[in-house]
Amino acid sequence: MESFKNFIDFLTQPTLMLTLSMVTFPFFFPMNDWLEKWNRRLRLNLLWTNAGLVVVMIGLTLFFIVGVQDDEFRLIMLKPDNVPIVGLIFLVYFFMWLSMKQASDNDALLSVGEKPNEYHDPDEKVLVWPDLVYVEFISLILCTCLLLVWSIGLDAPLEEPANPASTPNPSKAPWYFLGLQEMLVYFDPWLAGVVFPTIIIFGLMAMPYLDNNPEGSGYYQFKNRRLAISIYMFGWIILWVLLIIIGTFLRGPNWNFFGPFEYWDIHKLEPLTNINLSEIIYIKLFNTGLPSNILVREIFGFIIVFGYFLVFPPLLAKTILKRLYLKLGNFGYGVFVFLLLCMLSLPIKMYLRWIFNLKYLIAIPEFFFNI
Amino acid sequence: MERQERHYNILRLNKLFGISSIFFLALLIWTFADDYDRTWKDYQREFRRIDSELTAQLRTEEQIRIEESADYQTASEELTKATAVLESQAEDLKVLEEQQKRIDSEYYKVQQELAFSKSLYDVAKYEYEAAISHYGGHAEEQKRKMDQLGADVHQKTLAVQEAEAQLAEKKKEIGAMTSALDVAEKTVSSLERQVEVYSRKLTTIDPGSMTIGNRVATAVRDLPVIDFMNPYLKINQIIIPDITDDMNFVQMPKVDRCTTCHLGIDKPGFEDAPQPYTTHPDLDLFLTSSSAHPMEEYGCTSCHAGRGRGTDFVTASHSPSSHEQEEEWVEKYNWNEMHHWETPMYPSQYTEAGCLKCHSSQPYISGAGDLNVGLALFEKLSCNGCHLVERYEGKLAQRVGPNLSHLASKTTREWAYRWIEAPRKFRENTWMPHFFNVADWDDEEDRARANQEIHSIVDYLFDKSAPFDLAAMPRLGNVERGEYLFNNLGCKGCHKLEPEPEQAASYTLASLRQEHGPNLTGLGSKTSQEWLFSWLKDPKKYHPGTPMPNLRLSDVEAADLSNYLHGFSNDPFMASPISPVNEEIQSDIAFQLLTKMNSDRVARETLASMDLAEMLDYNGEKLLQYYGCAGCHLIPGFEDAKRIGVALDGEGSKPLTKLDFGYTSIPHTKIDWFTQKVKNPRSFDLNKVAGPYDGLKMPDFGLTDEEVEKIVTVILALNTNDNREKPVSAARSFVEEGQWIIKKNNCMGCHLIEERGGDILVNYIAPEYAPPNLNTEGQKIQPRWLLNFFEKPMSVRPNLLVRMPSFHLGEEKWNNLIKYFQYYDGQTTPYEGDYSQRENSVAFRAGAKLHEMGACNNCHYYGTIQPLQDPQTWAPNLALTKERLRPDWVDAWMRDPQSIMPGTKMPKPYIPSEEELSIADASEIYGTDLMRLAGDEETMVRGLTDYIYAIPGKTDISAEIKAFFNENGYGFLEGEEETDDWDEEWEEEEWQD
Repeated sequence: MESFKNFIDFLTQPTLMLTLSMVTFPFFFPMNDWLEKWNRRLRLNLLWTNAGLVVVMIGLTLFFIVGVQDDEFRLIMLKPDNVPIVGLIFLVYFFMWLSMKQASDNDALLSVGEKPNEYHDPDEKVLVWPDLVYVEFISLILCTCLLLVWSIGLDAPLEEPANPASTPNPSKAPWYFLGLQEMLVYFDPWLAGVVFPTIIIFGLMAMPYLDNNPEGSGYYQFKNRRLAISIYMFGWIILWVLLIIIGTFLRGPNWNFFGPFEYWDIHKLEPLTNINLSEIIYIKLFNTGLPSNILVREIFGFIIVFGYFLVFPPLLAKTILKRLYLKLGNFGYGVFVFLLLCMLSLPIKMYLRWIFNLKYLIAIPEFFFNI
Repeated sequence: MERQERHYNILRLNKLFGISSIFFLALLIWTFADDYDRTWKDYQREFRRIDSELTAQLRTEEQIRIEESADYQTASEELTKATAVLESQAEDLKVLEEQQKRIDSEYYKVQQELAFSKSLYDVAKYEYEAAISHYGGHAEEQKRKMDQLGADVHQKTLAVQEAEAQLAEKKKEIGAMTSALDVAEKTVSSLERQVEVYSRKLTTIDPGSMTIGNRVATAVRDLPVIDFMNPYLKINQIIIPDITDDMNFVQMPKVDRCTTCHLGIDKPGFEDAPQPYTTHPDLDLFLTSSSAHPMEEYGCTSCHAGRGRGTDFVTASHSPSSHEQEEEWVEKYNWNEMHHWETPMYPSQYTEAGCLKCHSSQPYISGAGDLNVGLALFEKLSCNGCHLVERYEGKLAQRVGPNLSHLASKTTREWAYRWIEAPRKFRENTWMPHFFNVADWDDEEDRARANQEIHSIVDYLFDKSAPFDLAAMPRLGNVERGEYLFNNLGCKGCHKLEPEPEQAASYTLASLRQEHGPNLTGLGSKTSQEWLFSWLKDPKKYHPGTPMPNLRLSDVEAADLSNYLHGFSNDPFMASPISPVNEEIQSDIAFQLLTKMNSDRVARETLASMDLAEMLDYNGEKLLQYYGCAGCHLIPGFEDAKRIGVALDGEGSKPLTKLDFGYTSIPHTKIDWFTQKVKNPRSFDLNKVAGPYDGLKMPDFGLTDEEVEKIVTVILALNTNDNREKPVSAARSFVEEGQWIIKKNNCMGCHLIEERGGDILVNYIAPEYAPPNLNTEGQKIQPRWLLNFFEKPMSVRPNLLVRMPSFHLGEEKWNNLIKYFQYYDGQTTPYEGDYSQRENSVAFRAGAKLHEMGACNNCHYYGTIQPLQDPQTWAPNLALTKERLRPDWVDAWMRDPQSIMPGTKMPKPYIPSEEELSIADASEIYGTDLMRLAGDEETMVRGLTDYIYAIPGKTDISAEIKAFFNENGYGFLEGEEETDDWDEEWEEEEWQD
């Protein structure tokens, strides 16, 4: 058991866990034929079957049952604030399964030239009474029951009176903001706290206009929409849900990483000396001091950032996103690729941090402008 | 679509709906039950049971008691008798009662008729008045009508009066027959009153004693939902607007619900009841409305801390007092620490920590035994030397250790080395802590470094020691005389001289007062006779800030004493080895210290330029600074040194996360941390990798667990939750100011003040020969005389060998002390004129006679005139009275000396009574003046006082007394005289606290 716990602790190191999830992600949501071949070969498509649901649910449950035996993990897991996140893990998978199962069923039907399941639904009518209303009412009762049991069973997680002189350690945002808080580790507050959330909201609003693929309208399916679904799922599962889970279970005192079975030792230290791109270039590479002119100093950062947003769109338009470009036109493609690049900048920045101890690409603290 | 088309099977949905609805209903009931079922209700029910059992028992006991009492038996007999008598007259009584009834109805009838007539008359009167005022026409007729009615009223009034008289007559007759019975009944019921009270209480709490209606109501009023109206089971809460809980952004009035379960806390009688019903152990001081801390004004958590709003065991933030209790609680109450509540209840042994938040300006908090000892230890250990504590600023000296400015004249380098290395090897109970070889994990290298550090410190201290002129000893002293002086002169008020016990007894305030100064054992190993002589002659010369007063010793006395004290040595201590100075380690230390402030290169260069002597000096200076030695000692070069420790005000409420537990395995609670810190100060460095001067440096005080616990109480008491009473009245601040002076100068080591202290008394055969009890001092003494006495003590009680020392506190402090005595005794008139008396008055002459009869001159000096009896009974100079004492006090003193100074040998002067003054030969025995006063005690006493104030003579006879005793000695002090019984009792009961 100890070695299992050590293995889990090892696996949940941030670098390893994120890398693993990002590398394996395309195999779960294959974007092209090659990945799909491997998806089938590795039997990953079985995840969206009934058996897959049972196995994953049992696996997750077993994990938490093992976890609750552990003194350290129990503390974190059963903290009344964190219990919903345990539930969230099950729910996210369940709803992912629910849609992906229907999608893969429909894919199978479509591949043999049949119509999807939903095709047989009546077009004009929905059975409201008693079917819909009754079911909704029963759900309402059951949800109320759940809330009652929950409120009786778990006390409100009240803490000490707020004290400006003594903040709790770790200070955690509400669970739904933990993803943002995680971003704050890698980005300047104005980016992680203001710009990115805004872009996320506008991105979600833009989605129906960008994704005008009529395939699969009104029913679930994956095959003909694999790019759209994969990109969305990447942002949602890896860059949002996973960050919430990390923030909840794996961030301890001083915002350090702790494995789920690790003791939250307040003395634990992590090397935190990070430097800016300009320092890497001028001091480490050129062995000269930093130029006093801000623009000269940060020129490489600007080049990289502008290059990232200016070079990649046409490059992608010419290569793998050719079809999409043709379909969306200049404007639509531009918006899409901007959102995509913004999304990808998070993992990119993470890796830059982990590999080069890079603090900011552009660091102009004089104007509070850091990227 | 067909009609039957459905997504779901409706029948199954019906079933599902049914099941979920039932489930929902069950949950709803559970919600109610969960909300309704509170443990405090069980406690209240249980208390009601206990209370009714106790009341029933009390009622039975009371019943038995009165039944056994003679009064009650007589009264019952009377009652039986009276009943019997009345029964025999039953026929007569019946007749009378019927007659009374008839008269009564008659009376009622005429009364009503009168009322009617009166109203008619009133109307007529009004009409007549109106007639003459407004129309005048029918006035005559109206008047006639009115008069007619008036006559009628008059007649009826007479009838009513007649009836009243008859009724009273009858009542009297009946009363005469029944009066015996009435009286007997009244007596019995007054004796049974307490039983009745218990019975009435039982009808409200004990279902068995209730009426059926009440029983039903009791059952119904606590039912769910209905219980919002007037339930029996309800949360009791005390709201205290004046005392607040600090919620950081807002001060919340305290709301204490503790009495919801602690129902017997303010009710006597539940002392033996199980918790939570037990009565508070000190109702005289707490909770009751007559106590200093009524429950309605202070609540519970003001003192005990904890979460006042909590209504179950865990959420009230109870704290276990031991780990065994913790386990028991976990088992019994599923207890866990409410770690988000920042002020958990003080575990019972630390409860007194709650006192200081209001009483922090007081040097002594009466009733807080452990806290007082803790504070005294805290002061003796001079925690304040390194850790600022606001309460002591300007009250007690920060530097309580000896002055090290002239160390070379006092002791040797060898002694100093051994002392610094391990002070407790020289004196087991010394307050000087161990700075070296403290951590358990020290290795050989650490020890070698410690030895070198000590060398450098000693070196610095001796190099910087300024020259000091030791007074020349006139001759070698006499050891025996020295011992005699030491035992009798008053040294023992502050010092002990005895081998240190291996196992220290627990400290009390008294034992701490007796150790106000160091135990003087082993002085021979430490210093020279010359130094002792110099020191004894004038302590302030060597150490201007010393608390040691000047005893005005003659050269011979000082020589005797220094010879005696020098005779004690500690040879094993002086035999302990001293490792040689090691240049390599010294340079290593110097380098480590240099790199603290300098770059590596500068450090190396500086080090290269130092020779060994410079290195030693440099290390010594830096180490003295590092260890904060100047917190307690005056050291050359460190005159303005700041405290090196963290300020302790607010330490008790520091958040747990601010305390570094390091890698120790103790439980993570504040109390455990404080305990560990005080007991084993550097243990939080365990397993930490740090340079030699990067770690913790608090020294080891070698405290027992008990002492640690008391000091932890003090630390817990030093919290930010300060509710100091503001503003303190002027009178109170005068008293407190004086109490601080008394504490600082250990006045209670010799004197009994506020019923405490006088610890030196155990050394004397009788309190007569020990420093006086200062009871009623403020009422007693004229302030001007007292000020002069403080500045220049004179001999007041001629046969005292013990000497009031010269403290040289300065006029301001003396005035504070005098104000203290005055305000403490309620003597608040600052200026009083001279007392004048008329020498030719009757009272004066009567006083003179009384004085003559009292033979005051047997014991009292009259100016330089010696008393008639032997020195052991000698008493103050009466010629001094007019300067020293206040006449009102002298009056009171004459009336009852024992109540003012219990155990005094002063007898109450004989005051003849009126009968004695009226015997046949009274004029011969008592004289005419006394006879004229005819037993007026007040005037006679005042006359005696007048006479005493007129006694002429020299007031300061110190020189004469000294001359006498120099010649005759104090032989009577040796205990040849038989001690009276009261002396022994005195010593055992009164003088040891």
